[in-house]
Amino acid sequence: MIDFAFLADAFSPATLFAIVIGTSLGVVIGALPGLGSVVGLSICLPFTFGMETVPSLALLLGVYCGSVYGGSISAILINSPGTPQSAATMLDGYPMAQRGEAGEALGWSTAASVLGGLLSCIVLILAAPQLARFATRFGSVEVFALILLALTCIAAVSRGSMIKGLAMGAAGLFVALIGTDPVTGAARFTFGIEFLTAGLDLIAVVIGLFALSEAFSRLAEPHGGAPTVANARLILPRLAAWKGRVVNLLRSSFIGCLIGALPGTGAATAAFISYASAKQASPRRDEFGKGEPDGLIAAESANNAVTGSAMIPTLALGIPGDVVTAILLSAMVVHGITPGVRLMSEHLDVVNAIFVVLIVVNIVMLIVAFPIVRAFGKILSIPEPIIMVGVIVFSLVGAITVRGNALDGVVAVLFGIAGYLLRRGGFPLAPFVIGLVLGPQFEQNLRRGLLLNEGDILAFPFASWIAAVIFTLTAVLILAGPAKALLPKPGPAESGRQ
Amino acid sequence: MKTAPIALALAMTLVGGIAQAQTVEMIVPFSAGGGTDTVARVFEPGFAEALGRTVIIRNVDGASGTIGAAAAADASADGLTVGYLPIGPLAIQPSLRDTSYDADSFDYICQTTSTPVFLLQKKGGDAASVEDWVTRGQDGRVVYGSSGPGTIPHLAMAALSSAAGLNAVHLPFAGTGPAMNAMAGGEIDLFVDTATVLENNDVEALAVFAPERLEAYPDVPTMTEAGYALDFSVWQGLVAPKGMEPATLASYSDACKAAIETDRFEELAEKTNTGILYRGPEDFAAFVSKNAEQNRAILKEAGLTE
Repeated sequence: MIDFAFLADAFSPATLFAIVIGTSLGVVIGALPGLGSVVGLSICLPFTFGMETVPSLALLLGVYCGSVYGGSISAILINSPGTPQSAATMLDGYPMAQRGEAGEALGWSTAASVLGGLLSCIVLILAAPQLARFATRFGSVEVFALILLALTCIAAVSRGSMIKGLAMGAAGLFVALIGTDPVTGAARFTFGIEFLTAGLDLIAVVIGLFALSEAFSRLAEPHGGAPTVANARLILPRLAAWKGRVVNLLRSSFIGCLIGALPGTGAATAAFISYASAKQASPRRDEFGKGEPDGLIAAESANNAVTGSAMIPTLALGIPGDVVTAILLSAMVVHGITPGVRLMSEHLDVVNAIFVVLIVVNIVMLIVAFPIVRAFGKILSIPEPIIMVGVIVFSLVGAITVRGNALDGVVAVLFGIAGYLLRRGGFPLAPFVIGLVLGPQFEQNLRRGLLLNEGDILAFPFASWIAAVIFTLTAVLILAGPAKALLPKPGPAESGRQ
Repeated sequence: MKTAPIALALAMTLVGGIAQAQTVEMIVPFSAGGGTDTVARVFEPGFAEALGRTVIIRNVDGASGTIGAAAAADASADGLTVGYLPIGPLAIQPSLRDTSYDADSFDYICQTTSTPVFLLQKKGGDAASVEDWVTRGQDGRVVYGSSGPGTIPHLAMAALSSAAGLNAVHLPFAGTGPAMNAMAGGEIDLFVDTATVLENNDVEALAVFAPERLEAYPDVPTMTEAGYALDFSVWQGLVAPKGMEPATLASYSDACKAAIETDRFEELAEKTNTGILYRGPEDFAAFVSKNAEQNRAILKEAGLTE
């Protein structure tokens, strides 16, 4: 018999108030370039100390889910992802906005976010213990295989020149090496600068590369750049428009759920993998990168599906997968709840309340999206130079806040200049971010795998059936392109762009 | 037209700067939500109250806490900046890499906690004692995880490996969470961490790295009983940049003592199985120097430093 007493907690006025405030704040924070999930949660954490347990978790969950969605607003409207998780959203969102379909683009991203989030809540509620146990079977070799698979998506997002795309991906992987060797602890590529031993902060680099370089190009060529999309309204897609896209939604949400359940991977990885696989599977694959709603659905449903499933290892095993869940766990500790393997058995009321809160957050997100998008649309109708100065100020504040280090602002500016020059040279920026996001995971899992297998990389595919399957899939994906180009073309799959 | 927003931004920064002038900034060298941060945030209200001033926590994350520790060392010694630092950046990292600071860059205000660590294995494994793993490690190999190179889990296992002559493989993870996932999946055999990790995961303790058995865990034998006199604990404390006024140092030290005696701090310590341990300025300084010496020797033995 389920005890429904937790519903009293989950639907108390304090909790609902916390959800509305948290979600709205999260969407706004996510939409501002520079301020992301972690900054939002760090800002709110001290306030939760004086609150009851469930409302304080509701506030944090609202900020978390809201910020992952919010990043898509600025990705679509000003071609700068509000958070790294939304970098893939930009690929199709901004071209749509340029065509004058900003409202539709926002509608697709909002609907995909909410549905992806809700689907992951269902997975979380039904299968948390099973998925958590399955996730533990992903050892270093298996995760390495998965990251390798994810890296093949660089090809999918390299618009124009494949060589330039691959070069940018490699550059991203290299930049991820700067800092400290994960096995020996030695500093490398730091040129004796202590600040660099911490590595470059992902958020500072993404802010520079996208938000600052966008602002620079617009300030440099006031009317040459693309027009800002002013007065955008959110237009939800009609039911008929979903025809042929539901499978994409389900697959992307499933990818998000799976990746979210693996500790330490995250929403940005999920969005890119899902985007790449949608591009492989979609009948409209040639439209990807030119403003195809399927691309938006893939990116946004996957990254929001991570929000629910990131709770899987956290709630089922007490293992925080990333900084976000670590902050949630620390809020629990302060309220006297010990997270851990026994959380579900000892504090089932709190876990159930979290489930309900997550569902409500996703619904509230849909409601608050309308006024917030409207407000952003209004803000964007003020003169562009002022907006861009605002973008620069927020970006720098955001970059500096993440780690509390002013030098991260310098990093953002340097990458802003680099991003500006690279854009002018026709280099795609997304592959660089993929390399940078996946680089540390790629290296750490590779090196742990090598330590375990005495340096024999050829033993990797034989480590487990999971590894074998993923390695085979990767090989097929890499070889499919050249094979398609060489073989006589069978019918409609004519566009072997690889 | 363009200058107006810039002027506004400058004015806001200035106002913010004045408001901040009299508050004490407490640097925590890890991100919000981490183990150190959680304790620091519960320590802060009591400390602020005893001091009669506003204390603001600033998380300066990166490079195993050394960036935050360097920021604390570089600050002016006017009492407006203090650092809440754990063992890593104070007594391990300066030996492992070129940090811009060392143990002499600080004045020591007080030690706040000291928590012994346990040798952990997956619950329900076929090994039942330290001896079993030693045999296994001498005949074949054992794989142990850590939350990164040069962390206490790493040092304690490296010390045990060399004391017992084990053929051991060290797998560093990006934190305790991923390492516990690897232990649940069977990738690593052994891990070393505090009672919090022991309580929160499906693991069991084989031994405690302490000279005597713990009151809370009377059934867990000590490493000394297993034949290896190893003593490891994780600890935290409050430091200030070198050159603080002795009177200020004394008043901060008193406030620190008051803060760790508050109910709130004691409650959190109990909840998180953190051991409260107060050491005054001189004792704490001497302890850090001795602890750093011991860790340096282990790092050298493990081949991580010259």
